[in-house]
Amino acid sequence: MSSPSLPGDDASRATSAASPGPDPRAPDQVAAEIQAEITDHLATAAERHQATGLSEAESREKAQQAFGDVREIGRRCYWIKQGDSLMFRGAIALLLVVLAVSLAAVTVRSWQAESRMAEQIGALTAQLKELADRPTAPLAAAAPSGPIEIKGRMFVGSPDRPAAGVPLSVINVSDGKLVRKVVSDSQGSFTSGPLADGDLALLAPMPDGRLSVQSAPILAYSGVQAPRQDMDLAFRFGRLGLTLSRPLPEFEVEGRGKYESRILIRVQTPRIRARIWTVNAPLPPEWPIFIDSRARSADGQWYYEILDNAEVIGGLAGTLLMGDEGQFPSGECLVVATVMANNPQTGEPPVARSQGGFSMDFHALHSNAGPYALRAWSLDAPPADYFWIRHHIEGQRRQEEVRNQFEHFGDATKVPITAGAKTLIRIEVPDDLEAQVRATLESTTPAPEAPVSAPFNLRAKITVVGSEPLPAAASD
Amino acid sequence: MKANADLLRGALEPVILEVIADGATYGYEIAKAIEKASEGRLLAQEGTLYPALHRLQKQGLLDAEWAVSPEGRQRKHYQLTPLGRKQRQALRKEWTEFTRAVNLILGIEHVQPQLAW
Repeated sequence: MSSPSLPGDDASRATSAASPGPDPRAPDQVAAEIQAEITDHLATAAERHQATGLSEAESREKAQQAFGDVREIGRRCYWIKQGDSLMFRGAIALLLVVLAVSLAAVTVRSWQAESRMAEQIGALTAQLKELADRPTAPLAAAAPSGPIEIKGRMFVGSPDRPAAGVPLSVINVSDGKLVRKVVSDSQGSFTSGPLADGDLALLAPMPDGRLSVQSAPILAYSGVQAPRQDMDLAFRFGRLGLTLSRPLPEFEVEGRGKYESRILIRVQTPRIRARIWTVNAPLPPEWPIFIDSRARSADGQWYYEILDNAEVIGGLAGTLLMGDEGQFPSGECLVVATVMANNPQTGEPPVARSQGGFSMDFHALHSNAGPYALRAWSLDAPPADYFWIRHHIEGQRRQEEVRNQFEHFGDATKVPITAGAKTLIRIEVPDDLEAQVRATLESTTPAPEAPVSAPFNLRAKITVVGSEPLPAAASD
Repeated sequence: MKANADLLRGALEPVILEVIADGATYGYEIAKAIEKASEGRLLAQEGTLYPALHRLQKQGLLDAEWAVSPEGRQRKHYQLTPLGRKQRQALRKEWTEFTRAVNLILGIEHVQPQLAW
């Protein structure tokens, strides 16, 4: 077996391709690395077995058995490394056929060989080389010559409304760096000019200046024609509406006074992000995405509401998160709701509605002056649910902690958003909220520090119950 | 007893990040570290490890370097990237929460009402 050509041949140590995304190196180099890595594993294992007294042949056989199917493992590694690029070149079907034929041929040959392990490694080499060499041949004839160029057009809402004079950035999504900046002409058309190979994306400001739109990644490589890019700079959004299964309860607990309840809702939209998407971040569920420099979350901006009965049933007309913060791009958003029951202290100011996403603007629900003289009870939810109260008590210093705790909300309900429509959700206020509060108070309450305000938090189920069209000019 | 393959798929990547964080660097060593730590329950076949390693490298969670082994072979050594270290923490937390949820359903663990911090 010939020794593989590796990056480390000329030096004692060398860095392998480690950046996320498709492996940029030549396919045969990738194949050689996979082969070398597997060979090292098998050889090391065989040496360990030999050291225990097994013969060379027995050791190899045992190492092979423990490893599993060398060809299959090698093939899977190769596809992990190169699959994206190959798929992009439209050679999937061809490769699968080639692979199947190669595997069949190698399988037959390997059964005939005397040394099974050596045969399989040899077959793997041939197979990977073949795989590496094939895709480029049929594409060469159709490949455009010269450097890569991205062309397209920007418009607002419909193709007959060109976005003229709009600055367009070409960015490399491998590292987020700016590659080129161009401006659209009077028809909204643009041409990037010659570009180096790379995984690129386009970024353009939207008309209201609040957001920018980032296109899906464009895999721009020599020999491949980059698809034409037409970008709609209009922000199409939907909204969320709310109903409750029953009014938020107010109830008496003997010896404890009157309990009130509020609802806390958190909404996260994965298509609005604080920063441009790069390969280091999880893929968004849909493209394009929208970049809001005011946002804080790199993987989807979140917003919240804290509401009482009057607000849910009355003044909001069932619409959550008014203004820009309630404008959700189409696709799925994630919603979590918790019902909080509390025994407000005498003399507290009335509760005011809280809403936000970019700052923690909680109003005075619990205004105990003492140093964190507050106890919260989670009936079924993780501690994260009541950190907002800590925030209020402890002031701005807790802002970051509160935000991070909210980001750990799990098992959110996926709610579909449709542009131009309001999706209606129903919050199930748990029927046993009062009973749970009473039972917990009776069974486990320690002697509290005074004054104590003890909110109980209980996760509420959310169901999507329908949608209704937004008024034509609904911007708020 | 070997782990169910479906369960293994979800567990392997966090396990790999753990053993690399604990000092294992190359494929055979990582496989043996998993075998030892799991008392042979996790890796049915050592080769299963490699697609997972390559996937983690592609995701930017692992960095890799080639070096010459004491036996004179080329050997690929892995280490966690800063992103990998972050993901390791996230996966630990995610796994804890997931197993807690499953345990609750299976009745393996009893949870008392949670008091305040």
